[in-house]
Amino acid sequence: MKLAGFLILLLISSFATANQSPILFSQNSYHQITENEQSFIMLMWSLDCPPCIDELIMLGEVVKDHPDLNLILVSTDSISRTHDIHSFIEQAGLKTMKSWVFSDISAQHLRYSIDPLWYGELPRSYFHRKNQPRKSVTGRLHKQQIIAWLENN
Amino acid sequence: MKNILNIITSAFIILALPSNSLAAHGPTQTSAKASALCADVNQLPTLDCATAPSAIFSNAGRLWAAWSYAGHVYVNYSDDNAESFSPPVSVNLIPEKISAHGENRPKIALNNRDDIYVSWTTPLKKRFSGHVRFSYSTNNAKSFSTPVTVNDNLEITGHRFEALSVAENGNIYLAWLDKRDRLKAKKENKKYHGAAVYYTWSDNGGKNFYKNKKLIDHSCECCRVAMDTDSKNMPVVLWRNIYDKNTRDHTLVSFDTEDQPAKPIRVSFDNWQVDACPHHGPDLSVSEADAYHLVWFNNGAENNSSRNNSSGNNSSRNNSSGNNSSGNKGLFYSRINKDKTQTAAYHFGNNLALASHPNVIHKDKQVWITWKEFDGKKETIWSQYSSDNGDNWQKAIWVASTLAGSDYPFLLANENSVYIQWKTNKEGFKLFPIYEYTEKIAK
Repeated sequence: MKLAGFLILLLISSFATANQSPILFSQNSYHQITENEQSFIMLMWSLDCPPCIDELIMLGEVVKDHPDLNLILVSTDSISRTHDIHSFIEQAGLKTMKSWVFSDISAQHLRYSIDPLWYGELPRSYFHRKNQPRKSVTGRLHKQQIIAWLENN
Repeated sequence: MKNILNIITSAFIILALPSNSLAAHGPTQTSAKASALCADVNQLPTLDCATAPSAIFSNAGRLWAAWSYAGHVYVNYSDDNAESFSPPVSVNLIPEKISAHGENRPKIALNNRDDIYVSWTTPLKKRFSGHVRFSYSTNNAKSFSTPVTVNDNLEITGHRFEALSVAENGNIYLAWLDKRDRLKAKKENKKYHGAAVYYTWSDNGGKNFYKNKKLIDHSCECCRVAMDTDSKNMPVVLWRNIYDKNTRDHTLVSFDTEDQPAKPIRVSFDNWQVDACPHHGPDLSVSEADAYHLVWFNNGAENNSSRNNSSGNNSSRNNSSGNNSSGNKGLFYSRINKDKTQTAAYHFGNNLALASHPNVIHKDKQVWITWKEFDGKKETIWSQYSSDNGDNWQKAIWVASTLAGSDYPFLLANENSVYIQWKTNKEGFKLFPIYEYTEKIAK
C-alpha cells in the first residue's frame, strides 16, 4: 500500500514537472493560442537576448501586483535549453504563465507563422485583445505600457 | 541577357539538388542521417554536425573550414570545392563550451604561408559572459597550439562576438564586443548602455598579443563584428553601434598604426530606433585600392525622410543612386572611398521576403553581394554583381533554395573564382560558384 501511495505521488510529481516545462511551439501553435485565448500579450524572448531578460524580470514584478495579467511566453531558444528556460522563468516570478519554446524545425518558419514581416529581433511582443487587430512592439517593454494595457482591457 | 539568366538559373537548380555521388560522410546527408552519425562517439564528427561553420580558401585553392561540435572546434579541408572533406582535426584537446550560431561562430583565417588561425567564443557560467579564444597551426592543421584567451580582462563578463583577420604582412587582428566597462559601471551603480568594442593584435604569428585597446563605448551587444585589412596591413572594423538613446546605426574605424585607431565614423543613417537585439550584423570587404565595400541591415522607418535629414556631414549621401524606395528598411550597400567620401546607400533585396544577413566580397573592381530571403516556405539565397566598384549593379540572380532551414550565406574567393558558402539542414555544406556566371552577364 505504501509503495502504491509512493508511486501515485511520484506520478503526480512527474506530471506537475512536465506541466511546468515549456510547451513545444510548432507552426500551428500561434493559431491555437489565438483561438483559445481572449486578451493576452505574447512575448517572444531568448536566453541570449539581454533586453529580454530585463523585460521578463520587469514583468515578474508587474505580475506580483497584477496576477490577472495574461502573458504567453515564447522562447525562441533551442529545445535543448528547456531546463534553462524553465529555471529563468521561475526565477523571474513568471512560472504561472504559459510558457512555450520553439520546436526544432526551422526558426524562420516558426517566426513566419506568427508574423511574416518579423526579422527575428528580440524581444518582440504582440498585444491581443478580442475582436481587435493585434499590436506588435519590437524592443523592451516598459512597465507603464503593461499597466496602460491592463487598464484599458 | 534573358537567355544568359535562364542558363544561370538552370545551373543553380542543378547545383541546389542533393547529389548521390558523394561519399557516405559527405556534406549532402540528410539531417536525420547526420544526427545519427554525429551521435556516434566512435566516429569523428563531420561538417554536417556543425550549426555555424566558417571557411576560407588558401592561395593554392584549398578550402579550409572551422566549425564546432560537442565542445571542440574542428578544422578540415577540401580540395574539390566542398564535395568531400578531410578527417577533422580537433583544435582544443580539452572540451569547452563554444558559441556557434548565426552571429557568433568559430572563425578561420590564413596568412600567406597558409598558417592557420582559429578563434571562437567560449561562453562562461554567467549569462552573456564569455572569453575570446585563439589557436594556430603552422603545420597544415596536423596540430594546433594550446588555445589562449585573448581578452586580457578575465572577469566573468561579456568578451564575445569576435572578428578575426590576418593582414598581408602576417599581422593578426581580433576585435570583439566587450562588457568590462559595463561591469565596472554596474559596480559603481552607474548605467552603461550596450557593450564596448575592444581589439588586439599579434605581430609574431599569434604567439603573443598586445594589450587590449578600446575602440568605442556603447556598441550594440548581440550583432556580429566585421573586419578586413587594408593595403597598409591595418584592420578596418565595422559594427552596429548605439547612437543617442537607442539609435542602432553602423560605425567604422580604420587605423593609422596598429595601436592608433582613427576616429570612428558613422556609416549608416537609417535611424533604427529599437531597444532590442537585432542579431543582424554588417559585413565589409576592403579593396587593394582601399575602397571599403559595406553591406548592412536596418529596420528604420518606411519613408526615407529621416535618411535625407540624418545625413549630417555626409553630403555624398543626399542623392541615392540605388533603389531606395524602401526608405531606411532592409539591406543596403555603400562604398567608402580612399578619401573617406561615401557613396549613397543602395538598397537591395526584397523587404517583403525578409531579405537578410548580407555578405560582400570584391575582386579588383568587381563586387558581389549575397543575402537570404524567405517566402513562407523556401529559404533562398540571392546574389548581385557590380563590375564597376559598386557604382552600378546588375539584376539580382537566384542562387539556391531550401525547405528545411539554413545558415547565413557567405562569399568566398580563390584565385580563379567566387563562391557562396551555404549550409542548409537538408543539403548540408555547399559551395555555389557565381564568378563565371556574373562574368558572362558583364560581357
